[in-house]
Amino acid sequence: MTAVERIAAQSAETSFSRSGLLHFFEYQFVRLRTGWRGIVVTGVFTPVLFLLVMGLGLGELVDRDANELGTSYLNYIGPGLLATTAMQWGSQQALWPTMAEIRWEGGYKAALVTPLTVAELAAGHIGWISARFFMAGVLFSGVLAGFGIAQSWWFLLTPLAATLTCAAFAAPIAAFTSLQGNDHLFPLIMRFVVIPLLLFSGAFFPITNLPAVLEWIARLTPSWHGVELCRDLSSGDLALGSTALHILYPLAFVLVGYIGTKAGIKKTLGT
Amino acid sequence: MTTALSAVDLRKSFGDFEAVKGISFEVPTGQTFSILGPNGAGKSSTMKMVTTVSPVTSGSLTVLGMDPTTNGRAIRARLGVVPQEDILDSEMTVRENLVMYSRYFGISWADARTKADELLKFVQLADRAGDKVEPLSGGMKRRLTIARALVNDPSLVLLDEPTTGLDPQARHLLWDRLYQLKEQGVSLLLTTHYMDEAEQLADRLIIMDNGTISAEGSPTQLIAEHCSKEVVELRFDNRTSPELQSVAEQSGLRIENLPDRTLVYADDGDAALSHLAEQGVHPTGTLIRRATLEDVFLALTGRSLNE
Ligand SMILES: Nc1ncnc2c1ncn2[C@@H]1O[C@H](COP(=O)(O)OP(=O)(O)OP(=O)(O)O)[C@@H](O)[C@H]1O
Ligand SMILES: [Mg+2]
Repeated sequence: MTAVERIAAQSAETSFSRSGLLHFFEYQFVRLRTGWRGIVVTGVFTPVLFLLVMGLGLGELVDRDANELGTSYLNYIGPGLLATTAMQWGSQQALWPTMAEIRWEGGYKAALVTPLTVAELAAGHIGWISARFFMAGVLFSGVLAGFGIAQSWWFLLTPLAATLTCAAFAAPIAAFTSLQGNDHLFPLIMRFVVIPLLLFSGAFFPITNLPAVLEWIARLTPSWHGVELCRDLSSGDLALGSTALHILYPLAFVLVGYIGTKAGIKKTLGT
Repeated sequence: MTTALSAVDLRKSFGDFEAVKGISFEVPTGQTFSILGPNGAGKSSTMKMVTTVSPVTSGSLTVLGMDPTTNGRAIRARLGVVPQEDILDSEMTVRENLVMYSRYFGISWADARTKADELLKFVQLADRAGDKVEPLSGGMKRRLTIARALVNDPSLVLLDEPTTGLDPQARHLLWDRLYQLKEQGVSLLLTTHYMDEAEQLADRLIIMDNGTISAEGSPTQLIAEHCSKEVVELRFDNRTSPELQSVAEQSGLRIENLPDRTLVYADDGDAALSHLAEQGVHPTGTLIRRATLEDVFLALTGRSLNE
């Protein structure tokens, strides 16, 4: 049997196959090209800049009289920055570049007349955004370690934890994008969702310092869970219950977002 | 004879609007079948259902013996699709566009590379293999899209207006390639605005208008049924000839008034022309030509295809 015959013989109901996803990743990997630059900028330039300015510069002020954070300000914001960078990456990638694939450039239209299914395409899309962030995240964590921020072996898992945060934003926002006819609302998402969450997810100060209402809103965002998870992994101060919550809660966003993206692509490209 | 594709009372609605209003046709394996029709006829809507990407609203559709609703993946594995717009990957080279697309079909890297080189030769793009897609001309992009549709050695190739916007030379090159595919036993379904294209390539065709089929048959059959053998084109200084209408009625000749000329349908053009002259009809310009599918379309709908 040739490869094509093998696919043809696969049962009709398999809307998901591992090889389909693999082929999607291979395809995206080959077309990455200039995309490496963004990964390196996000993974190296961003943390160096922020850690110098905020970690060391601002940290000098914060740490002057023993702070209430239980660790140096540098140690405090390092993992938080990783998680919020993941959020920004996932959100941004789920807006314009996603629109390009689905509508403007039509790459996904061409992919859907191959054996690839909508399910594989949706999973592949979210997965590829996350995979690229993971590469940036590994570099980012390396920089954090270079600044002496890693305090536990658990720290090695921070790139994975941050990738979960990335996916928790990429998936629901991609679902939103897949139903949009144009990019008019995209700047609003960045301005009124992503930027506020960057400030209020506990990356720079404990959310307990916020007014009660905002604190509770912050607890409902996957970004706060991401910040907490990265910070706990970094300090090694892990509690089973809260760690499980910090993983499962964002995972639910990934799942719902994936289902939404699948439905959105089907609606937009499969009518 | 086996069937590559069959549609029975096939319908497609977008909300309240019905784009395809119950069409039935069959494409025998190894044949070239064409859907000829003006803008908005429902050609692409029909094609998209065949690709399995667009769900059938009602009626039945069988592609390569399978049901698109339940066997989408298996059908697409054996289909070659040339969509109306070229959607090539501008981040990749010409060759990569073929190789990476092959991977979606589960074709091994080695086979994908061999196939890509073979297909680039087939569509005369071998010398552009390493180039980016963007600088290619329209005709080259079209050829690359066709090559991409062939990476999986498809049993059925769908071509949605493969030559629209190409110059005559590029069109003839494409037609030649499509002939070669046909000779290899590939079934082709192609939509077009151009009757000469349908006449050149199609074994059978349907003329589609407003979501319905207005005629079906082989090109010669359709011309014979709906038209005369020849058509006489007449031009007049003041655009029309008042005598012509009555003369034609008396002599039983069918005529069609177009904005710039008048068509007279006749099996013998010369005879018709001299008859008209005897009756005092003196056009400033005349042309006798073979009847085409354009005339069939005009006769069926009273409209011209490309207006
Ligand atoms: N996704 C859609 N949503 C709503 N209406 C649609 C959609 N796709 C097509 N239509 C409508 O269906 C009708 C048929 O369109 P279709 O694209 O099938 O025509 P066509 O024969 O391919 O025309 P053309 O020669 O211009 O390509 C048109 O009126 C079009 O506006
Ligand atoms: Mg069309």
